[in-house]
Amino acid sequence: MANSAASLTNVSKAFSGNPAVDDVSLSVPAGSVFGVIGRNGAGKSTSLRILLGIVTPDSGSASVLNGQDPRQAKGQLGYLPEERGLYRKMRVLDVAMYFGRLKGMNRSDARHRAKTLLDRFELAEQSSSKVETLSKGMAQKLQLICTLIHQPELLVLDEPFSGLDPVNINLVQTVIHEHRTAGSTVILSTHIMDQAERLCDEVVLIDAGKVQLAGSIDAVTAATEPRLRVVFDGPAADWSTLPGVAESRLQGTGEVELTLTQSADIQALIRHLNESISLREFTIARQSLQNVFLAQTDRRL
Amino acid sequence: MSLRHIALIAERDYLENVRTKGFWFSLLALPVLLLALAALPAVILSSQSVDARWTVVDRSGWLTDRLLLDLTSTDMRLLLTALAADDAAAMLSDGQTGKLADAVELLNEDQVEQLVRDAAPLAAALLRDGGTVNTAGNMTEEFADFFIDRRPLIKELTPEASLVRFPYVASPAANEAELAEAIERDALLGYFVIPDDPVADTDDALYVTASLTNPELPRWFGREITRLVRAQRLAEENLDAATVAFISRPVGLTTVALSDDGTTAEATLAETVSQWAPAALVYLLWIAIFSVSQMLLTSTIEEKTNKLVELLLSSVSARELMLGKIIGIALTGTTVVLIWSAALALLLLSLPTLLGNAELDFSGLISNPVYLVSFCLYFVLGYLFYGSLLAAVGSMCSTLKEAQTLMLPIQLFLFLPLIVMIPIARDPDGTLAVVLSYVPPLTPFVMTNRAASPPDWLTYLLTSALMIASIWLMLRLAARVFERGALAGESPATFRRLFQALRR
Repeated sequence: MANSAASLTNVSKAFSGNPAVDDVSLSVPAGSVFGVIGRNGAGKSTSLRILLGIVTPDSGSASVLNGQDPRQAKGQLGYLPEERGLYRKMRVLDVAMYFGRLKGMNRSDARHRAKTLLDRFELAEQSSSKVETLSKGMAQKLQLICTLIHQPELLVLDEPFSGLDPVNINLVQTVIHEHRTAGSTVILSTHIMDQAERLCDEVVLIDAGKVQLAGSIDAVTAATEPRLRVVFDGPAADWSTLPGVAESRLQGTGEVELTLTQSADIQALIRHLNESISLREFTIARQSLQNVFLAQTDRRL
Repeated sequence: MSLRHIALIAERDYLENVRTKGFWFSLLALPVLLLALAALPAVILSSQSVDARWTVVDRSGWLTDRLLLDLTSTDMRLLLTALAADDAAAMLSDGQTGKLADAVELLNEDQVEQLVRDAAPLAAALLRDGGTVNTAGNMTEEFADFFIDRRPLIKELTPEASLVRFPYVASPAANEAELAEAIERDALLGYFVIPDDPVADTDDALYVTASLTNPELPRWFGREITRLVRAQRLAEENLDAATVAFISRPVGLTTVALSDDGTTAEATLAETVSQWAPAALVYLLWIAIFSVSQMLLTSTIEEKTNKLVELLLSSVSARELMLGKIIGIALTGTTVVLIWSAALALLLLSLPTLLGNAELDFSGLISNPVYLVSFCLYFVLGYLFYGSLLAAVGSMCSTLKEAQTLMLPIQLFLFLPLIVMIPIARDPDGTLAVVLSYVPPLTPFVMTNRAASPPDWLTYLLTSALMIASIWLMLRLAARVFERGALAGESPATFRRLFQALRR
């Protein structure tokens, strides 16, 4: 896959006989922000660990950055795990340098880059302090620095907004935008759908260890039933009997949201409504990723 | 596998460990303990000389007099020897004592004995009744006066003298109520009551004290009066003391050490200790291996608890991480062991000076290449074996408590080298020693234990090869468990999970 920054091909992995991912295939376009969405325990983290070469799949294969084995390309990958910690007794600068050096940087480059990032993330004053003296927000910034220090070509963020304060949420979003602008690839695992919808170019929905949906945000949301919001005066119609309406939901007096079938003729429906009720306003809306997600997983978060 | 990754992880673990207080505590604990043990006899001696004051309520009318005369005579002989020493005059600050020392230096053996015979009764009487010589006219009176009046100086010159270690307190009109009060005031450690006829009554002597934790004084006193009463009994039975001593003398049995070149010489204390040294080395090896392995276990669990493992594994492989940690902690442990060994060597080398006994020369023991190589080689091999085992266990656990459960069978097994330590030291070439040498988890301990009578090189070669093969296998199994365990969630570590990880 020439244009793919990372891919999984028919990957399966079970722990103690329980399948975590089952025949998962996905392809991450180079230079995109790619969302891996799904419930907790759906298999997102295992898929990412396989993609990063941390976990070896029982079957199938993973490749990153022009078809490399992820275990051989760890120096080009940046990873912010969902459960993240730091060496509490080490100095801030030393921690950043250590992770830079583990990624292949020499001591002087790691020092230089660590200082630059500490300065940018407003931690320069704490560079000689021990990690245990940092506030939670500062520690979160340092974790991000450890992930970015070696300027990875592929950045993998597993639930990056989990536990972050609003300032750091903004910081992570900025980092994601910067990477996309610079042409790097970002893989983002999350179960917060509006963030995925706002940040990602493409998503894959994993549930029960399997890929349920994949594609661009537009394609994924367009693939589900459209919605029609109707504002009217006077008596309501019998919504469920209208042609092409799968479901109706009253939003209050004089407003209803209709979920349409894929084959519904929206123009005909609007004409029909215009004749049968006192139609004041209507909006054709795309399904949100949240609704797509709920429809697919058949469960409310 | 990247050596650079392993080196980086080892470097970090080493530097982080040597910066902790725990490291410095373990580093200094053993040398401090050794120094304390070496200093203990001197401390006990000095504390006894201050506290162990005693007196006697003597109903026999003769035993205390004889005892004081006997003790005074013995102590005076020691004192005269000390005064006659070359540096005694220089040690004594005042002119009077300096002159006495000069005078004593000129006495021959017979004159010394005569001086003791003359001065001891005078000093014993003064000791018993209290008081000093009013006018010291001749050397006998001057010496008796010196013996009674200059106790601090005598303590300095002859700390081993009986009346220095156990000072007698004169109590001419003592009644037991006053003496009990003296004990309460700490003026006395205790007092003895001698029965009317100690020669006939064997069990009626008493020792009265408030301090039951100091057995030295009654033990010493019992020895001394037994000797005197025994002499009295011999005299009453018209038996010659010298003849009785000759009859009861045991047959002397001298141990002769056979050296490698076939010559024999009387076994010195150092040689005897040297034969037992491997047993002590086994114990030291045991402590070293397990304290260092324990460090590794704790460090692995901490890394997991702090949720660092996943981040590390995105940069390095599980095997690199495990090896890096094992090596880093090994360097920490080696630093501790080297410093412990140096402290032990220094202590052994300074024992002759510290204790004033030239027989305690252990320089041969310290420079013995078999002991040195055995200890170093088997520390490394033993640590690698147990270190990889404990790293695997640590990777499965989220808390030390969980680790303790998994460690229990290992710990029970590891008492075996300690149980067989003495039998193997007694028979280093016996069947038990030979068989256990080839059981890899025990090889480091058993082979070190056998170093006093070193096995042939083939045994060293075979056991080491077997040990290295076992380490290789253990590292492979440990890496397998580590890879699995490091990323396992919060589910508790159990033997079932451990075996599942091994089977993978």
